[in-house]
Amino acid sequence: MDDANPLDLAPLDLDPIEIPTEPLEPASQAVEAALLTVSTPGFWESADLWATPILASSIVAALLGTVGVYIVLARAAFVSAAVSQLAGLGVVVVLLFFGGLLDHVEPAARLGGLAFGVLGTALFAMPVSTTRTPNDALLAMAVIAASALTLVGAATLTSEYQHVQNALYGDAVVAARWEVWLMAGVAVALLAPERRLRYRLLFALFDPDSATAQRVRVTRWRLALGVAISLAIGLATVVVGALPAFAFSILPAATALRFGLPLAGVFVLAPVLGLVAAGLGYYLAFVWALPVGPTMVAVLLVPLAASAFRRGD
Amino acid sequence: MSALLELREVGIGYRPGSPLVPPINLTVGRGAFVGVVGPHGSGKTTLIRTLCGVLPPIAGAIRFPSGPPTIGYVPQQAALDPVFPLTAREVVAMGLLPGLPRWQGLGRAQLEAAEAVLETLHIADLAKRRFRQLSGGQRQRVLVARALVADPDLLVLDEPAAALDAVAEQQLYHQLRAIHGSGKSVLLVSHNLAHTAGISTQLILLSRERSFVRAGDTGEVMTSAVLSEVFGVQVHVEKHDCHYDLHIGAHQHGHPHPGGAAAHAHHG
Repeated sequence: MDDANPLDLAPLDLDPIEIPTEPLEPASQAVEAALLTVSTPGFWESADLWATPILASSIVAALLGTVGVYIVLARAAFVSAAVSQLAGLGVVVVLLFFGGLLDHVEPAARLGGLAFGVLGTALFAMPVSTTRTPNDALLAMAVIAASALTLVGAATLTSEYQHVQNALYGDAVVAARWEVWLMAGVAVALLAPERRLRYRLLFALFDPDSATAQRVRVTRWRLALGVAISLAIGLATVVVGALPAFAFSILPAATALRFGLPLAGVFVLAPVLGLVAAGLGYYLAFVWALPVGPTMVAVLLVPLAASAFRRGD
Repeated sequence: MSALLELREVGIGYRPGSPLVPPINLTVGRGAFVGVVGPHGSGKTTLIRTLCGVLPPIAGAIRFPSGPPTIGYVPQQAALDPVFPLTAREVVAMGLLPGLPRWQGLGRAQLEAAEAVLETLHIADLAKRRFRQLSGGQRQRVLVARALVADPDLLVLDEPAAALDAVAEQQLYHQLRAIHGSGKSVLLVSHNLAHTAGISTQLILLSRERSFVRAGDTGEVMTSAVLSEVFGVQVHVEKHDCHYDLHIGAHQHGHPHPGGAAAHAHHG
């Protein structure tokens, strides 16, 4: 065995490398650009990255676009805000008290958010026998309290900071496949009977006394609507975040109503606006490296602003 | 005339033990025209909301000898939110929902039935217009159409003339006479005794202090003694063939002046 070459490897016969001293040729610049493209792939090349999140956001947008029409007509925007904020608080509470005990923190936190959202709506649905505080002020207090407690709790969760941020402002970029299936199931369950029940629900909202006098079970229909709203917003909040969920539940419907369309048109335009905002918002966020949820909300503001130029009926 | 509903010591209000007015006794027959008259805040709307089942009675009982009647209800317009983008025929068609299977929505047949009722009331041209775009009188007639579209046993109207001008008010009362003439039972809430007594077969009078209730046939209630007690002023009633003349006297201490409530009341 040769001491100088213990592995018995033959020396490589390599040509000396010539390092160019002149500027790169145009062909070389094209190669460099191609390499850069590979290192930061384009939107369409990254379909496997965004397909699931965009699908989740689209389902949320379509569902809340439709449900939002009822929310806006019932003048229950604060309920929507309160539910989404409470869902955010639910995420923080789970992380705060059970974060160290659970193996699967992310799903548990999201389920906690959903539970808080649904619980919050159940509380709002209860009759409040007070004349000292108007209902909208009670809801505003719930929003404020939930927001403050969420932020206070989040301040102590440095390691789970990203979870909290996602819960509050949206994490559509990382939606999981199980969330898509769950969201799709809820959307089908809620939207399938909506068309047939539409006028009953609207009768109960538009003129509850007349509906009751005509033996329509107003309380039951309003409760069913409240459960549907809480389920849709609570679930949407844990999938895309409180801000996008709140925005999808209000802005598309409010915009569609501002365009002065007939009822059927409102129920078509609102989910379409939501779908466009979900897709375009995600695309713009990807291309310009912006936060996904707020970008979707920003897209929703464009048709809302355009509706201001429409003459009222 | 068979009884449509019977009120036996009925207490109305929002808290058990705190009735807004003294107990009410009245039997409303089929084909009756019942006027509920009293000043603002006297409990009229609470009374009819109780009669319609919107509120439960807090005392006594409401009986339906022939079974619960179907009701067509015309609310005060101020209670309706203009944000709803509904057309007039959609609003009218909603009156058909209670008769449809739970999972059946409004379809072409219901919208055509709504248009037929609007035609009957001579407002077919309003069918496709937005409800919120209509004038007060037009909205009132659309709501009457909605109340009638399901051919109810009892038509209930809560202050239907509140938002109407004088002409529209006269048209409404003319329409109500025609509806009553067709055999329909009507319950009309108003603060205008002059108009209501003129077309009612029975009256329920409520006082502002909610301390008096007088219910009975119009002829029994429209007496000087009863009206003087209810309104707290000397009221002299002269009955003619088809109307009442009311003459207002001195204002009694502790009672409000009836204002426009006592005037010429034409009957029939």
